[in-house]
Amino acid sequence: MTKVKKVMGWSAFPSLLLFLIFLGINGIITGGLSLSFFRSFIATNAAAICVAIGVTATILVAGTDISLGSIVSLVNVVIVTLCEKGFSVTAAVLIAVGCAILCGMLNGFIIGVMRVNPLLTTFATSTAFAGIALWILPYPGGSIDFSFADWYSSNLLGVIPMPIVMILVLVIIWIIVMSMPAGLQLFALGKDVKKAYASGVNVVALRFFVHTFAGLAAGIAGVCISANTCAGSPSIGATMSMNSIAAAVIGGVSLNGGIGNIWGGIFGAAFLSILISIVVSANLSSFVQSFIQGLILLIGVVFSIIAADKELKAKIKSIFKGGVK
Amino acid sequence: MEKAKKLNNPYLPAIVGSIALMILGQALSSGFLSMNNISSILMTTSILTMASIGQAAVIISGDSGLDMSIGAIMSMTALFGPMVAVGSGALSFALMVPATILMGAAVGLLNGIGVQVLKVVPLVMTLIMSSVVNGFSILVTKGQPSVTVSPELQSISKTLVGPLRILPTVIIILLVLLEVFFLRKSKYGRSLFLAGNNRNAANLCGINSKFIIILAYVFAGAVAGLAGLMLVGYAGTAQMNMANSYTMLSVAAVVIGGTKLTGGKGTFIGGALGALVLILITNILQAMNMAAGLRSLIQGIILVAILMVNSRAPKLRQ
Amino acid sequence: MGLAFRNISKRYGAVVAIKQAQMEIEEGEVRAILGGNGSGKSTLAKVIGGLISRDNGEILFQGKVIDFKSPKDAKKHHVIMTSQELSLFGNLTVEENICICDVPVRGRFTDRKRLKQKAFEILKKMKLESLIGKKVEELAANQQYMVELAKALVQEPKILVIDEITSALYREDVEIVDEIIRDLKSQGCIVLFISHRMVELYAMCDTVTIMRNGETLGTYQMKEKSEDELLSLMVGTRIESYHGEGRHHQNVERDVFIRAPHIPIPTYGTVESLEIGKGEIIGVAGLQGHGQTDLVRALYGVRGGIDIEIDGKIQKIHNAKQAVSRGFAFISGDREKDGTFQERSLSENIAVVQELVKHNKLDNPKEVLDDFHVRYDNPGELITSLSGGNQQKVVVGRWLCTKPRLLLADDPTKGIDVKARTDLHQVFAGLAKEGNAVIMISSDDDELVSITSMVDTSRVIVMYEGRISAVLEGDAINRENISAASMPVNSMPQKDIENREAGAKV
Repeated sequence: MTKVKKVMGWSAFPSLLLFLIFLGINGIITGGLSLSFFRSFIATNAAAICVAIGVTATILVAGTDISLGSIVSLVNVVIVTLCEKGFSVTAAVLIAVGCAILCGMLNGFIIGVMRVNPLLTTFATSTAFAGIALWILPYPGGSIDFSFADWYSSNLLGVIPMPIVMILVLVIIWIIVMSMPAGLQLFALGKDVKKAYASGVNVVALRFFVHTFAGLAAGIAGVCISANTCAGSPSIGATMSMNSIAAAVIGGVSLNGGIGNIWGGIFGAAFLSILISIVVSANLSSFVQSFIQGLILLIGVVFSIIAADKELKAKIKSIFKGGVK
Repeated sequence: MEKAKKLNNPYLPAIVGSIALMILGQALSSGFLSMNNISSILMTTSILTMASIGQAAVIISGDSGLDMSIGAIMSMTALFGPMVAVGSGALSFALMVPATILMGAAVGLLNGIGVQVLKVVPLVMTLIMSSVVNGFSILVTKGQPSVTVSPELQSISKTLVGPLRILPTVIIILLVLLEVFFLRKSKYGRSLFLAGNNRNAANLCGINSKFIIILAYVFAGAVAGLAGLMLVGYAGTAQMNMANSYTMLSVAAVVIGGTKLTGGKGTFIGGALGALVLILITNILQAMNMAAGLRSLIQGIILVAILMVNSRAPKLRQ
Repeated sequence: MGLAFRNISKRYGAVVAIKQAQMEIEEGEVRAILGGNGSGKSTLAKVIGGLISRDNGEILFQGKVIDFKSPKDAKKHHVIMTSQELSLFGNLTVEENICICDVPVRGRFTDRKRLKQKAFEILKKMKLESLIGKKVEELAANQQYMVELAKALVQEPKILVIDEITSALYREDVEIVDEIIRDLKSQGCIVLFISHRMVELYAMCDTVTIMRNGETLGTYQMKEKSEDELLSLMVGTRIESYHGEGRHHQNVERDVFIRAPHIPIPTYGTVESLEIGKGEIIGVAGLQGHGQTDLVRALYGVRGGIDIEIDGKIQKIHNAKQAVSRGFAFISGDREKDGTFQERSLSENIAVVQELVKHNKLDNPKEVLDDFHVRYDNPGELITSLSGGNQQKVVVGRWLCTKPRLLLADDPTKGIDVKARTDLHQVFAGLAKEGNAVIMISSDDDELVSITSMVDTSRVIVMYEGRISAVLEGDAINRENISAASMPVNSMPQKDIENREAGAKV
């Protein structure tokens, strides 16, 4: 009983439930859930999930990062351009991910060391990163060797699909950090900077770390999206930043910091992705789709915020208790 | 002491910045300070100023207030505003103004309700609202905007008053009027400052903070709606999402103008000066014939630099 | 060789917080630091704890100069500062909070088992091991305080600075704290105790250093000085600490002004009633968190709607705005949260109710400021440039210039110095004498005894678990009766212990 309660009280639980329900609905609409559907679903949306993981990390310390979408674009552009220049795919991918980490470190430096507001900082850097992407590749185009796509659709050890491996890399890094003292301190920092400082937490280092981690997450997302499309576009990640923040909120991550976990970001993003794929498969015209997607975001976020409202919960509880009496 | 106070003028960085940029612009290309170019700079500045006025009101309203839907509202009214066509051109122009204001205000009202009644964090609420509004624009226009901008609408940016075009002149007057009579003197403006500064205390004093803050979002939406109409009048054509960059530009303008993001403090005029700085930067980069990507990179770097000088949080250890 | 401060100075911009502070403390000594607001005692505490830097002077510990760059640095040297505003994280569990400054590790990873055990051991000493596993935000104020202390103890302090206990502790808690401090003493730990609560200072401290205006005035043996002597040293001029006992008017007929038959106390789910006379001051006493705040806020209409009979007419009050229009005023002791607009000027802070809510013109904000003896430069300056006491005077002035008929005050003199306190008492009494009424909560029983003696009609009501446990009038208003009613004997001690463990719902 207590275990059930614990699971239900888990901040990421509502988003997991939503994801499963809509996965089921999608199954009904498209006539059954197949492994191949799941594979293509995860291949398409691994990027969104990775970005959501990155943004969740920054939101947990009461920050945010809206430059991740631009970093994704940059990574895509770098991979395509390097491949065209004759680099091997592996080298191109490694260099691109390195760039993404550097971008994250820059964010972390400005926010952590220079103490500038994270929203404004990442807005400014996102302009810069998107600018670099556009400068390198002014128009969509270019192609990557299809061996990249083959690698992406292969399995690690013959069982784990590569997109899931990509997500797992981030999850494992995060779990390792969480099981170190820094994990506790991260939540403390998210709750209150001043108190965290007074308790001996290294505020600068933690902020620097989460933004670097977010950069890495965006880098991996960029790799996923490049492998999935095998083409270059300087604005491929443009909408990802906003969607990832919405995903985190739906996943029960408090924008005030200190509450939530990356599973919330993952399930939130997965839920949004499945919704979008339902909308797409419903065969609506593309103009209707974009409006409906907006509405879904709105309803999802409003719903999850109301669900997390403690006062409201207490009210509902007291109504139930009153009824029993 | 007195001197120190003067030096602490929140407008100072923006003023110094714009003067420096003007000199730089003139040095880089000789026609920069020509009457013609100045007047076109003022023109674009006045559109961004409108956006930043709305943004400033929301930021002042506190509770980490931000309106990320300003660009989307402007894009929407830029598309829908010119569609108003009743009778003569002049009459439809006269109707466009209230129509766009109403459209913007309606979105602002939804934002306000979301933020204050449903308690969604402003950043998220308005971000999502912007994607709803953009989706709505696409839905209505079927992704194929065919907007004809009437000559009356275009004339607001073309007609000259003395050496200046009519629109910047009107905006400057409007700006001062709003700053003095709306923000500083009116009971609403004063309540906005108080509710934005300390919501709890304002409520206990009997101020209806919820209502005041919702109105700030409505105001921001309305002003953005009007700004969208101005934008399409100036541009002459309308495209999907044409004003989306105005969202963050307006935030940046307000911050450069010396307004802190914590609420309860701020000015409209500062936002206008910040808008001038931003437009000057863009203008100089355009004058240098830079590639779009490089331009955006340099803009970003300048923004980062301004932020690092202007809006650093105080040290944790004093 | 203990701890010595030599000529410590600290300024924030133009404001001098500490000047040339001097102090010497032996090992194993418990030292109280006593001073009014803005006397620099909290700043001094933060300097020791490494939270803020000092401008000059040096601190010597065991003969060596210590100079901490950060709280982390100070903690490494076992110099621990705890203060309520800077300690606990509501989103973490009790054991995580206790160990966050020094997380036990195995290799590079958090050792959860040892973390729990460490917290358990320390909480066991406090007989609060039942708190393990709970989130701090679920705890009652007194429990949070104990956890805070546990967090300090777990770091094995050599110097422990305790800044400001504001939450009321249960009697058993006080005993435990007392025992812990005695224990620390025997280990040679230096304890610096900053508090306004005289009773606790007398119970626990050996010596006392008085601070005023950033200077250390002198150090005395705690036993050698009476409460009055200490207070007058603190304030500068000789004042008499208030003693109103035995000066209350007896059996006065009261003219009923307001009747509130149905006051909800949501925290406890109880309902109370109250009749208020013209010209009356009603003091509300009780241990913190027993429904006093609910009572006053409910009357103000901010705990859901309420029906109140004013001058024989029944009026509905649903929110603060309606309450203001009926002539109510509300002053909270939590200035930063409920009172001041810190980014705004004095005149804006003064005019808010009169101009923006009651829509009357306030001709001259300067006049109001002068009327309430606020010390200021010009009405355009920010309210934060004033000291705490003066800020509170501004808040009071904001309300009193609207000529309120009923003044509701929730511990309005919390954390302000004695001089400002007596000024406010006079203002409140003056208001009551004009035929209006005042209801005032205070966590300081003496204050209630004193202020109720200043007017003809007065009562003290004592609250316990959401109910009025006693109504005291005339000679019955004294400290003994108030404390007796705050902790009713018939429900003690078993219930008290249960409460302590379960935590009073806050």
